[in-house]
Amino acid sequence: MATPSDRLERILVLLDGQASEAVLEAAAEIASRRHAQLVGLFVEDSDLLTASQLPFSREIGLVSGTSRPLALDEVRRSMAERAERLRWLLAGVARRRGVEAVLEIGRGRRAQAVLARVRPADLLVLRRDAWAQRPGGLLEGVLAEVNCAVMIVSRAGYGPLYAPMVLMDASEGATRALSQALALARGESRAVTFLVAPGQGGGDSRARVRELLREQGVEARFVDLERLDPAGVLAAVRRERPPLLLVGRDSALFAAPGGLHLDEFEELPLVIVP
Amino acid sequence: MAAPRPLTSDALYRACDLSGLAFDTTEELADLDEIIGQERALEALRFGAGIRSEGYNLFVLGPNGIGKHTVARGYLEKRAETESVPPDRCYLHNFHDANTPRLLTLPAGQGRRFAADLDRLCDELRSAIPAIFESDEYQNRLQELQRTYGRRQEQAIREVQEQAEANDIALIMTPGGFTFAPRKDGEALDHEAFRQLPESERERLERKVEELQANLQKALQQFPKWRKESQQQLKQLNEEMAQLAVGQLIDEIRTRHSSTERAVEHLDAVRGDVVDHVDALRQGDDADAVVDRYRANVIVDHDDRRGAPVVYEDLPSYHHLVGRVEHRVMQGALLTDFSLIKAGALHRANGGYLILDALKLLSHPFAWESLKRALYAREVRIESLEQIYSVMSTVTLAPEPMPLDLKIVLLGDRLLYYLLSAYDPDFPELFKVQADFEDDIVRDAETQPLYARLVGMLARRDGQRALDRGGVARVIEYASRLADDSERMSMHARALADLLREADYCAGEAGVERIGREHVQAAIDGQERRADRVRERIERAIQRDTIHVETDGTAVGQVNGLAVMQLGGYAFGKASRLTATARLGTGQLIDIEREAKLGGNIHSKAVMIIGNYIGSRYAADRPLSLHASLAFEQNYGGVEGDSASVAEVCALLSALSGLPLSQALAVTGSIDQHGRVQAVGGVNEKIEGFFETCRNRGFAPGQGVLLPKANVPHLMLRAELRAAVDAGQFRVVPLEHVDEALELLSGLPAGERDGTGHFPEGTFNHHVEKRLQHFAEVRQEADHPAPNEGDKSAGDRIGDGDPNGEGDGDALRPA
Repeated sequence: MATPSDRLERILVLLDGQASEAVLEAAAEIASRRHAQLVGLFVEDSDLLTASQLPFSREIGLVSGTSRPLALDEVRRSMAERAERLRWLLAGVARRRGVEAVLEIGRGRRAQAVLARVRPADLLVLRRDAWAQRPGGLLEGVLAEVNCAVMIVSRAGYGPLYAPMVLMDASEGATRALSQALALARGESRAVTFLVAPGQGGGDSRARVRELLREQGVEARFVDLERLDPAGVLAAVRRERPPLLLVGRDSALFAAPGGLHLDEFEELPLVIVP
Repeated sequence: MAAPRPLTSDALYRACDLSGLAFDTTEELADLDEIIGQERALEALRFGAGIRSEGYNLFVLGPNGIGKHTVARGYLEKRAETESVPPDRCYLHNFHDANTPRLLTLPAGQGRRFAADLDRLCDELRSAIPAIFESDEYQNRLQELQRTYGRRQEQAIREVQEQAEANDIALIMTPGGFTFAPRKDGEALDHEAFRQLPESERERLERKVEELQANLQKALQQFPKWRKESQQQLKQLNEEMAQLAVGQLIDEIRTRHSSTERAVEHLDAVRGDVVDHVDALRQGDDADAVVDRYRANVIVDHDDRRGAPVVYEDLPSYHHLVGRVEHRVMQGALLTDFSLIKAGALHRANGGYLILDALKLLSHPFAWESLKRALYAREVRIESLEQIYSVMSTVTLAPEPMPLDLKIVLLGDRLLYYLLSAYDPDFPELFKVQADFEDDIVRDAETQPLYARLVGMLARRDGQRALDRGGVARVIEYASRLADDSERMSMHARALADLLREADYCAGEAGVERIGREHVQAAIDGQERRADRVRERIERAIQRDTIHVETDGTAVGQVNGLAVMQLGGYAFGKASRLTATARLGTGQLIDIEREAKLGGNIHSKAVMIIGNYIGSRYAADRPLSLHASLAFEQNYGGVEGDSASVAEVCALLSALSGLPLSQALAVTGSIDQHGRVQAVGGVNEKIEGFFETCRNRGFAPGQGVLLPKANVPHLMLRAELRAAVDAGQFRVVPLEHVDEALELLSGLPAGERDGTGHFPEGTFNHHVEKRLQHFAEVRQEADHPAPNEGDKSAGDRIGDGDPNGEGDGDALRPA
């Protein structure tokens, strides 16, 4: 499996039409800071197109709960309109931010369409929502196989990424998370805070990390976790208020009893590094 | 007729008897407890201030400078000290309707404390709310709530999804919701594949999809209810946290002001509002705007007050009376809120007394109307004029009106009072009590010492030197002169205070510790000197014969009349040549001043009286065949009044009779239709004016002034004139009848009709009658030639030849 690069070439953002402005702004902000290309991806859901051909298919409104017939032509027209709207949105954001941007339109199941397009030097930006987080949902599908860092956001305007926080545990992804943190915050970060899991950071490892970062002009801070579980991490995040948290995909945190719910991090951008 | 005797100098001036002033200097004198000579006004003040019925407001009337304001305010302040302090008033934000701020009434002194308590609460909110709502505890509980809500939704959908998956049906997200589709090998079945399924399978799937749709609908329709529940739980959490943050402080303030229902209501509303605005209070951007609504705007604060308020509003404009709502400009828009409500004088004086200058009140647009409206409604309502007259449509406030319970005290002159009474029907309804100030008080042995105390009090109040007895005596004499009456003293406090200030200055210039008579005199002389430029110019013109006034010798049809000129606060007299002509005519008396529109109505009336007097006195039984005219020579500025009547009748009779009259005398006085001389005004100035002219020319024998006897008590003539009288250089002669004037002016006896009905030969009146008789005969001859057969009818004509046949033939008709 390819591993993520510490150099960002593209910021790939999945746009689905719902609250796309916010996630697009967040992605464009990073693209602008890191001088990366902004790629918007809109996926025409093949399952939806197929389903809408069935004579009995109906749409149940998310807000109203009412049922109405679902027609293929209507779905196609709606998808085309959404794509056009996203193209217009993307062009506007790109012009305002001064970044190069393209809109790619794929068809199929969303996770597969995303995975088919990402490259290790990309940063994939996904919107945090309940549907995407459901078991078997988009996030699960993408995170399991993605080969680049995935940033999960909920709004725009995070500002400079000073002092990102990196979870330092026994996962392989922890080191890559550090590289990714430096890549994201290059030129902006003056410090990286390490959230040190119990049993980690022993010996001279902290001194080596500190030295390594100092060579890059970055100060290292270490915050010890009493235990590696979601509650402990959340408490540290609330205390330290980092602008960004990077966690290795294989971190034991995700395997902890009860699992890590992304919505517990509220608006904090979370970067999961494979 | 016994000739009237010239007055001695004693009668020309009433000096103040020093023996009646039992002190050395005014330092020894106590202040007056109450103003003197104004018993009527004080009684009215007491009555008006005491009666609490509606409409019993006061109008204090009297001339300007009499001290109405000082007396009324002094009285009311003294009275107010014994009355209870009215409550404080605050405006509060209305949480139900922000445009209608609520009025809070608190016991005196509590307003400021309540506002301070609320300020403290606001400060506490600003720091405690962010701290407590950022705490881990709150955040954990908040997220727990949000997670619970999210998971509840998630779970509901997941259950439907699991049901679907168990039946090989996929739950697919659409742009606006969800849909279901049968699937095979993880892929949704397309239409073709679906058609190829056995019919029973297709029917099963369709039924299942329908069932799932129904289940999903049922689940989704629960969401609003769950959201509401979640919001309710969040509100409870916020309440709990807010209570933790400021509940204790709110309870503390609530207890402190528990006797005031509205204060308690406000605190309860604040408690609820804090919960509703937790986010704004936490994030800080709008926190100021939120907490500022909790504060109190104290518009009336009686914390330091003893007794009821007595407020004098010196600029009684509409907004100064009823208050105003200010606006602040924010990004080009005009915004306002309860904190920008400003009290007016009615608010500040509520529960006490509001003193206003009536003329100023009437000269400010809408002020009088707004005052009447407030008094009728017994409440004061703050409204902008723009709002009332719909001039602007800016959003503004309609604060709750304040109940009104106060006395209005208007100060004004008498004319204003009478005009308002006559033309404003509301005025008598609302101002039922008049406190009428006397212009002057009686001068006697009892009042002079009191006046001395007043003088001492005024000097002390202004930090001036004390006056010695001589100084006080001269002030009293001056007050009599101001009152134009030796038996009264002016109560014009401003003139009196000005004189004392100037006398104090003179004493200071002289380097003495006490104000003496000479300093008061110097101050009086200084006042005259500063004001007499015009008088001096006129006198110079008389001396140079530019204005022709004769002061010796005799002349026919000419008498020196006396006029008073008032320029600002300074009055002076001057001689004015009155001339008359007479010739044969038809009973016409021409008032040249009236013809030239220089004469006033009173003067015209006086001339009519003269005409009737002459007609009835000298031609009661024959036609008055006279054409006469009267004029004030070299008068270019108008004549008013009847004080020249005696002079005019003398000039006219001289012209008629051809008898010369003395020019060494000047005459003032009015007459009635029987020739009786009546009092006039300004006698002091008139006499002094003629005296000045005579003195400047060098006295000639017989010079003096003839004046009505009724005016003798008014004489307060200056020292030089009195000295000239004592030296026999000048005389002042009182008159009771016009005949006395004729005798003094002509040197002939006037004469009374004898038993034959004729005036004795050699008398002035005989000459007049004789001349009139001559005119009548000539007229008779002209109108009735020797009778012949042809014009017999002419002898039967009635009257004296008046072509209109309207004349009565025994009186002069003004043309």
